[in-house]
Amino acid sequence: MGSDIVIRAEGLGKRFLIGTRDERRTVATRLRRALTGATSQRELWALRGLDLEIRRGDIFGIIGPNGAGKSTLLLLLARILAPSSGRLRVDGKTDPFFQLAAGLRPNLSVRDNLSLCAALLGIPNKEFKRLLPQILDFSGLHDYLYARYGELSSGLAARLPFAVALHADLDIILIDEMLAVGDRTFQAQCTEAIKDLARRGKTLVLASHSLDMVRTLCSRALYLREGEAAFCGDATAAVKRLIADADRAESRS
Amino acid sequence: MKRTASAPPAFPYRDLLWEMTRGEILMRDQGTALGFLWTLLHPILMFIVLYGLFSKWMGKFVDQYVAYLLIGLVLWNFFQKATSYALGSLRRARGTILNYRFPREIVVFSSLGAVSWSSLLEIGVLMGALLLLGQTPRWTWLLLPGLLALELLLATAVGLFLAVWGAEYQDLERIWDVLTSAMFYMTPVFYPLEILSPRKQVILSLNPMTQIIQAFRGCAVSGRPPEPAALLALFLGGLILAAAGLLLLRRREFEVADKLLV
Repeated sequence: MGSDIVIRAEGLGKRFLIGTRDERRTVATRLRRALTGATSQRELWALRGLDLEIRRGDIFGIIGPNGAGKSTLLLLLARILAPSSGRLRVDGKTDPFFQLAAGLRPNLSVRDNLSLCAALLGIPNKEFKRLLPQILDFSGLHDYLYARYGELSSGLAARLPFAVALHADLDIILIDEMLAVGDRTFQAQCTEAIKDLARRGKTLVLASHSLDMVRTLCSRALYLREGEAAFCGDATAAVKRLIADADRAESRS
Repeated sequence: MKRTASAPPAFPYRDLLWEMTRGEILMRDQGTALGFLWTLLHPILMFIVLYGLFSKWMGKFVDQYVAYLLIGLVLWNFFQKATSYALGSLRRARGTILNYRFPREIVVFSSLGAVSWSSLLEIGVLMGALLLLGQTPRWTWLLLPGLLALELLLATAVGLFLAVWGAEYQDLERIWDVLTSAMFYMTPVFYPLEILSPRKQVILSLNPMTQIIQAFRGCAVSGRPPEPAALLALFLGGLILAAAGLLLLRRREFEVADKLLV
């Protein structure tokens, strides 16, 4: 049973050093700091003392208000950021999708961006050529293959990285608020794809404000509040807690 | 504090490097003939100005001053563009870095690759110009690719450090601009080394770009092969520095991500 756990965090914390408002990060300020010994940096703990276990084949939700640490957690799971405290173990090939079109090139064609995205996700070129028809079928971008990527509507643009990522052989898929874009048809398609991936033993972690989606898709969920776990367990219960907290905060104000 | 990955992802980095370099080249508009002419404009203008001002004076010390000046400008430009483009590379790739997991040095290498491509085209034009100036190909021309590779190695070594520090310090770009402007005058690009006092000649000879540009001139114009010892030292130094830069980038990878994020 222990081997089934693909993500395990113990006391996980992430701290950022942020400069004060009127100070920029420059060689000049660094020199001044070295000379005067004054530190202008402030600590911000985006995530603190988090314990977490996610099993293979789970669809795991992360909910919480803005600034609660959802994206930071995904970046840690993706091994793009390093934890400041605690331990984190992630087994398997993973890649996140946060801002969808980030890293792609609006001036180049859809075809060029598809191959760039595939390379970024670690799909070898040969494999990409074989997968291309499937990717195009899924994304519905057939007619736009030689259009400039930047000219696509934001909904269509969002389909590109998602379609490629679904065809990359990832073990753990991290999704940050991505189904919000795209029309109903594409959303339904993605929901199906996510369920199918989970059936095939892939692990999915979704950070979302769409509580309905988390309730219907996820079995378990983590409710983050100000960088700490307010609740971790059954997805429906997590959503209930968040709604209760939000209602309380609203009635107080 | 520990992070373990029992299954390190086996990425085909070669494809990624190719895709990103190609993207950089197309983004810089050098995929088109017009875009390339546009990048040629800067060295041509520099050439016209410097030649107009100095041809008579410097011509007394160097025969073939046109070739001398052209080689200096093209090679200097390569170094200057490559390092300053590498400096901003991680910052420019912020979106890519924060959304995908891949070895970060590929960002720096693809920037250097894009600059190398445009410089290679410039060097093609330069060699054409040398033929027009009446130079005949000699066996020492076979050494020229090696010299260019050496220059790329040095630019890579410097560029890796600059990329890491440039992600951290926002004013480094300005500082490097100033430094390279100063270095331009401390490299015999448009003047011959011989017009300086012996002491200054020694100091300027310590500048790696002096060595490379002089060696290139020797091979391309006068058919004089360079001294192997100096170039070997440069090669080894560049190799060590590049390895250190790579190590720095790998070590600072997560700090760089933090800096790019907040």
